[in-house]
Amino acid sequence: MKQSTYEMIVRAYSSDLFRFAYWMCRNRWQAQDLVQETFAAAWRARDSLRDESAAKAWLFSILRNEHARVYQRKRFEIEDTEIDDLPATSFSGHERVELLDALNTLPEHFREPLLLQILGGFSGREIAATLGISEQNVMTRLTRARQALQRMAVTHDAYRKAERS
Amino acid sequence: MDCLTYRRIKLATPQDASRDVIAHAHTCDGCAAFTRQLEAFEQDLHTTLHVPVSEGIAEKLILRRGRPHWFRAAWLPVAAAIVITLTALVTFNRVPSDDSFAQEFVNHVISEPKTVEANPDMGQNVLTGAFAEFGGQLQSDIGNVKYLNRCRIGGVDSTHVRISTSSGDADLLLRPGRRTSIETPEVHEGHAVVVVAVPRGSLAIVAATPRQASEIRSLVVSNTDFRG
Repeated sequence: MKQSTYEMIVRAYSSDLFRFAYWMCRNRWQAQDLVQETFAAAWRARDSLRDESAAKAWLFSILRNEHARVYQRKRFEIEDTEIDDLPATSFSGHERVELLDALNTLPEHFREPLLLQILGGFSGREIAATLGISEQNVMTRLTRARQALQRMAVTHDAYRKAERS
Repeated sequence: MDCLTYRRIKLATPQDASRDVIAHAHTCDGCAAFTRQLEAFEQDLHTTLHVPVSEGIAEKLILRRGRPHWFRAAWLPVAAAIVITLTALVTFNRVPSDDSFAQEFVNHVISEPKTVEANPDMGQNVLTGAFAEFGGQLQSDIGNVKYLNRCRIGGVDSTHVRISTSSGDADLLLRPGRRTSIETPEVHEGHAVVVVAVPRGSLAIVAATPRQASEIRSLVVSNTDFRG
């Protein structure tokens, strides 16, 4: 990878990586450090990137590894269960603050695929490859992540309304 | 396609526009309503997740890779000084409303790059001294002090402390003069802020979430005597 290519991918992906890092560690300063470490590691390993069109997924993988390395993350294997019911319950009326709280309490195995989908723009297959799980498993986690967020946002909202009344 | 399958697909990939999915939405009122609600939720989710990114982040990353360590050390304080000077120039002589008062603290935290290179722990004595200057007596440890500096906030010489507590990390900003209390956390630029009126000014607590800001506020207030 040439210096000019490196600079191009830094400009293209640093914002997406920062946001992903921010929601992984929920701290602006740690996120900046993580992104910096990610690009430093990417530069050191630049010869291993053969296909430049895969740079984005490669960078997200490096960031995940850096996060795991720095924060000694514990990995919990979970067994995804069937979704019994998906009612069209009302989740309108939630506020940004409630959603912020809900995102912060969402378990990592649900949050991570959701972040890769929304912030990284990755498909189910790409997320599966990044996380090392099946595509079906990714879809189940994405479904459950949104269900959980809606439920938590509604609960927080109802709680705040009750508090105010 | 049945309703359960449709909703599973939409929850996993809200943008899915395959023929079967569209056809089902056109024939099922319940799922059409479900989709409308999901789209509104998805928009909020995108807005929340797209936290602001520091301006010029890419250029800083490029500069840092290509420069020796002495350059990094020299460059950061210069950038910080420029940002602080500009912030002070813009805000000098302005009497802020409660809302912009809270936002000023958040703006300062965002524009203070030196906290990135924080120390492991500076000890409680520096915090005890900072609180004493504002009429507070720290009675027990509230966390590790990572950073302490004199900063201009709203045109006033203030004290900026970064701490790591059992409830998470936060920036404590002690600003002399105006005494303001904001108990319900306000969210500005993806940061939550509460403000405590202290004998010689205001103490703002800026954290990642409203919950953290409230918890750290309780931690500070319950461990400090602010009777002056």
